[in-house]
Amino acid sequence: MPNILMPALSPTMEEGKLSKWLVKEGDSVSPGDVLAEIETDKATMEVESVDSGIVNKLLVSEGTDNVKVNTPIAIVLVEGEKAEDLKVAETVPEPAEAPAANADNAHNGDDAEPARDCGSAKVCARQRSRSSRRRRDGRDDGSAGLE
Amino acid sequence: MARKAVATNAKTQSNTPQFTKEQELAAYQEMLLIRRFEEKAGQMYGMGLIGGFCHLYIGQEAVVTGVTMASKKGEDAQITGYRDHGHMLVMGLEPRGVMAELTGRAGGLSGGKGGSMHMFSLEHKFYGGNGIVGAQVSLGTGLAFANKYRGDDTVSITYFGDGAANQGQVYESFNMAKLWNLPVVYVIENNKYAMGTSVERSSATTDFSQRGQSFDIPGEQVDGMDVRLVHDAAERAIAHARAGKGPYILEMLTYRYRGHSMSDPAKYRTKDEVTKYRQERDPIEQVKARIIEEKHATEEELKEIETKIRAIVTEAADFATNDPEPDASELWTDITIGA
Ligand SMILES: Cc1ncc(C[n+]2csc(CCOP(=O)(O)OP(=O)(O)O)c2C)c(N)n1
Ligand SMILES: [Mg+2]
Repeated sequence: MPNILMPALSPTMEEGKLSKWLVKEGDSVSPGDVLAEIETDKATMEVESVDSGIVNKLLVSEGTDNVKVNTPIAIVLVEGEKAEDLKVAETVPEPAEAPAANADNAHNGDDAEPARDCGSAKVCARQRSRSSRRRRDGRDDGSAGLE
Repeated sequence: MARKAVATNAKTQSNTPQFTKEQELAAYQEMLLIRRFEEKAGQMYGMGLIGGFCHLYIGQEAVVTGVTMASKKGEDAQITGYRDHGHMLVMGLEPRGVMAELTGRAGGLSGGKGGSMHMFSLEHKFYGGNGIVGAQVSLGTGLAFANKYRGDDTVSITYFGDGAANQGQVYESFNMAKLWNLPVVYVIENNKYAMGTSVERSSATTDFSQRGQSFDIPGEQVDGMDVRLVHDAAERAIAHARAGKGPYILEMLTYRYRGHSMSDPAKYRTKDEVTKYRQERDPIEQVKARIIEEKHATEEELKEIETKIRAIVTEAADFATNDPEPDASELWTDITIGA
């Protein structure tokens, strides 16, 4: 799981500001270490590392507004991984709202590649479309105060 | 073992009970599985793969691990609130089934229709997964009633939070539990906060181990970050309940590292407080340090355990990502039981 993606910190979040990096390239990180602070319309939250590894590259600079959910924001290399294996992450185009046709595919579970890697633009778009579909359906709305 | 069942402050507990090599390694693996699973769940939530609620157990791992190690796995019933992933993993429910339930897939433990808070397993004697704060206390007491009625010599282990401890039905349950000497152990997971409200702000008395006093239910306060102390106290409490002496309260002093749920920035506590727990009290690091010091395993061997656990979690995450959502026709199933 080398790519750190812009996380959705609430069910309704579509984009956020990368307000602060708490690590720099070359730092080693462990699970639970705070990597960055993300600002949404509602709150500032922390993004934690899930892996042990080395921060290879920060892909989005501090202070960037409107970073879409699931955009790769950094590369962390775990033991045995090389940066070359992950080139694709840097070439992901600016995320656009996925077309409706895509959204219908999103839940068929027919993707052979594990979407969690989000290693290609296609997979990333699929994940984004999944969350936007959910938002459109309003399935998650109104949850906040009751949990 | 013959310690009196009174409130012992965690700090004054001397003669810390020791674990054997096997127990240390078992506790380490169980807790690490919960930690890695929860971190992955947090990440998958961030990717939009998990809808609805998701409450992580990170920081509290020693509680359910120590208690379950002291119980008869598969025989004693357990029930908890919505912070329930760790309980299921330790009780032996399939990690992939739990994860796929979080993502709402057909292969989830509730067929993808329950989500994070609603999973059950009769086979494992796990009764949920309950979203209503405090409801599990009445249900858990009822499970103990059933155990006693059947005379099957099992105990009901009922977990709830510090916030839940202020709910009315808890005290109705305490009364009946003692009145009929039901075999129930109440485990209060005091992680200092109920959502954003600290114990001090919400509770007239903050020693939850004494909340059974007026019903003559004994209680102990336990360092819930040390799995050995949790296990030791749980053995005592479970033996008490199993012997027919009635309910017992264990207040576990613990801490959750993450926010209440995924969208909680946790601004009601200081960063220092969180950092202190993480660095000085972490339940997993404590066990790991002892394992190395006692030479129960080498760093290399612990790494192998970590790799094995990561593989389990990755497999669960892959399954939960690729398994299909339930068929629409499932909307009409599992609603009522035929007469
Ligand atoms: C009856 C009821 N009231 C309120 C809520 C909203 N709620 C969900 S969790 C929670 C806090 C409970 O805190 P605690 O018992 O300390 O458990 P923790 O989350 O710390 O594990 C509240 C008030 C609810 N789910 N049910
Ligand atoms: Mg609490």
